[in-house]
Amino acid sequence: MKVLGVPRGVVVSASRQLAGAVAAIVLSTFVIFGALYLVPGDPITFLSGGRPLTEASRAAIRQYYHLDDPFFVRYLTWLGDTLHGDFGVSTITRAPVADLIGPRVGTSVLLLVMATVLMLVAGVGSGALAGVGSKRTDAMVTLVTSVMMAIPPFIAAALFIGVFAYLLGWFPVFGSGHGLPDQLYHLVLPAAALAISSTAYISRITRQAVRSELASEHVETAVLRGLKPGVVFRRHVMRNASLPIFTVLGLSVAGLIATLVVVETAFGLNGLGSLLVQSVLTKDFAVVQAVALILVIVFIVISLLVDLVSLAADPRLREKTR
Amino acid sequence: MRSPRVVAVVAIACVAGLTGCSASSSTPNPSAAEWVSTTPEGKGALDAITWDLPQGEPASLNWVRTGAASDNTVLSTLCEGLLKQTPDGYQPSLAESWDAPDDKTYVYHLHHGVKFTDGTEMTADDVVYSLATQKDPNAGSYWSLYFAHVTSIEAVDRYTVKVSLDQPDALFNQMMATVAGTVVEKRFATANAKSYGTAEGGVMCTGPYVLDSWKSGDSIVVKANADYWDTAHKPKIATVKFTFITNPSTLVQGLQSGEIDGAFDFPVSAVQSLTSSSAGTLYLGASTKFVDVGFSAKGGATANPAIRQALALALDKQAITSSLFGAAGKSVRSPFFESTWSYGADIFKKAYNELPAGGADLGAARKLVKAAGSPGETLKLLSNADDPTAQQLAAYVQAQAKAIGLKVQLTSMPASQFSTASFDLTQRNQYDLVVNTASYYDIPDPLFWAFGTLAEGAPYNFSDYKNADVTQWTNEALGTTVESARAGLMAKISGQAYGKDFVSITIANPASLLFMNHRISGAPATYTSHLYSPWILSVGATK
Repeated sequence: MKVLGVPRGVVVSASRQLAGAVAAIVLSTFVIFGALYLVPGDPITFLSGGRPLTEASRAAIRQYYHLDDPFFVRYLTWLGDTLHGDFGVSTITRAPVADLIGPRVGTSVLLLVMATVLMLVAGVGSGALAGVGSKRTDAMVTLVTSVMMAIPPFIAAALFIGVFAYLLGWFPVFGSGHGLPDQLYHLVLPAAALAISSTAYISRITRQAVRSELASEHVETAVLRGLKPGVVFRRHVMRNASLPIFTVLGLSVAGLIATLVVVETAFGLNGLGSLLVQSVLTKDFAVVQAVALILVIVFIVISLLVDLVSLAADPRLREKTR
Repeated sequence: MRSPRVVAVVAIACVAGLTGCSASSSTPNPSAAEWVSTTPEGKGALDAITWDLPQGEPASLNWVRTGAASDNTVLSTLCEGLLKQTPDGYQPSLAESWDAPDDKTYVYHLHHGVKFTDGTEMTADDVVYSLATQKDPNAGSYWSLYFAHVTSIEAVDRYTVKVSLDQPDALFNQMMATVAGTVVEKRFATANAKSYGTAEGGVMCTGPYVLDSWKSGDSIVVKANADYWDTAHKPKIATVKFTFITNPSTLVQGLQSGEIDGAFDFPVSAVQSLTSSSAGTLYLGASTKFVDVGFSAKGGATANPAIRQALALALDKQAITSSLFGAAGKSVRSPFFESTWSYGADIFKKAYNELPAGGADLGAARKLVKAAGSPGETLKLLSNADDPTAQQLAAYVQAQAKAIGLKVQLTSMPASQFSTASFDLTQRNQYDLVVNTASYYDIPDPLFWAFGTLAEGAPYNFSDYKNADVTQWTNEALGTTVESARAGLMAKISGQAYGKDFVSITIANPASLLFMNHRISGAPATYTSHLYSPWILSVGATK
């Protein structure tokens, strides 16, 4: 049976996924809010530069920054506002949260997209090369990816800044740039630092998938049937290998969101990650909640997309859910 | 001199090792230049420079709520106060002169013809409004403590302001040379009460620069005020862009590559690569910052002055200071060190020299511990996990304590939690010892510190130190506007609190850090000149 031309199994499965995603989003906002609320201490010392304060001004400052409002009042107010599409006002800078987030979404999204392209091109490309290539090529790729996989993003950032920005002067040391071409130029090193270990991982997965497809019976049959190597590779190897590659790619992109914080801080980018760090430090509830919400939604949407695409691509998964 | 290539590699290696390497490679080159107060004059005009704020983006430019170094570095280019602090000490600013008809009254005579950046003339009404807001308990000012004895602030005429106190207060007039004395336009600030000092609302002051743009997370841009009232000091740089790079290695690379022209107060881990930089000059300046080991009111072994003295004797201040800061730090005997002697220097010097110099004497320390009954309890030491200097010092304290028979257990907290825990009595009293690396004087007067920390009931008297004499001397000093008499009282406090009672163990006085590349020069090198004077006016092109 089909609904609007889509098999019923897919519809059921997709709606289950969707409901799970919404529940996960609501739950995560509650957990984040609660976690920030429970962190001991207040940001006044940090903001006042550790200056001694009279009790009266301390109380006035706490009130000004809404530090004494009860938990559920704050959470429900926030939830209500957010459902109306209003992220509220930053408790520290007093700027509308939407204004703080707006200019930064672009930077973070562009950074993620560039990192994804890098993972796709360099990761899948080198993996496929290792899969079909000679022993020597394979060994080379394996060696390079082993090194890449071991490099954490903050070290990659320092390394890239030192070599490509400072010594060679090919790229700027910091900043996000203005206007698309300039932004792309500014984000090359951050995207590379962000993607480096995931790219290596994708490369490994691709190599493995290509190898296992090459050894499978249907590929052997295709070769025996006398199909051209290029056709065999495209239609029989890569198409079947693409499912695990895509799954890992999706999860890696979702995983990069957590790494954004590190890379944006290292490169002095005005993205969502650096905003999150700064806001947690000053206990700026409104901003932390909004950024966390966006990041959680992006994470869940990417995971959801991966699941749905897998469902669409692999008939066996559809059978199971029927 | 090392080649920039080698320096970069060292910097990279340092970051790669992150905290692990800080022990060796963050130690600055001991042969670095002497501490200075000014830098060669900035002569020529420049279109634009980029200046970094290593402590990050300011939270506010509202004069009652600018507390952190970043806030004040930017605010001092936009707004001015009645007085200012330069490397030459207190100087007139918006007040061309002031006098004290009696010791409970200050009268400020304002410059005529000072214009806010919207063209309106500054008058006594604006001054009264600006100071009264600091005092208003509902305004939530970071500076209200220093207005505690103010009973009235009134405009005598268009250019004269009279401040009356209920008792003599030796700190008040000095505090007018900080943000506490900042003057804003009353009309603008009241009309924009909610957004004043934010990116959206901006500020309205008399300073040499005007806020041009504030892009959250990216930069604050200020432009020269063409109609600046002080015609003797014209801005030389048309546009200054403040960036918010906090990561030390990124900041160093930015300075090396010339993308950033200068910065104050970067982490000490950046000092070594900048000392040998071919891109510009690192200046170490006199500062009022200090590093100490403080106690709490928890009770237990550290409540005994003999144990505190033993701990002080166990620490080799010169050795640890040199290891933490190299040439960018001096070991000190008490928080009343040389940079704080803005008056009575001879008296302060004598009192200071009577205190122990702080070379380790483990034998004497062990004896003191034994005589105190060798307390077996584990002392808890609180430190800031995000500050390598604090972590190294904490580890050193722990090791030295062990050597004299005291057990110390270290708790490290992330910066934000640490700063709260170390200032909150309930939290602080869960620890016996706290390593502080971020203390500094807003004004160079030992009384500033005694008033905040030593008297009974002082807001930052964390160890609940009670000495009737010290409390009385502190209160007396606050009421003593005659400087030599005040210095005499402070000398007595020094001997009692730091010579006999060991209220805290002051370790080092870190230098004020300043780097400017070869394009520019002129910024003041002393801490707190770039917080409380229009420092940007002295910056210009090298040629």
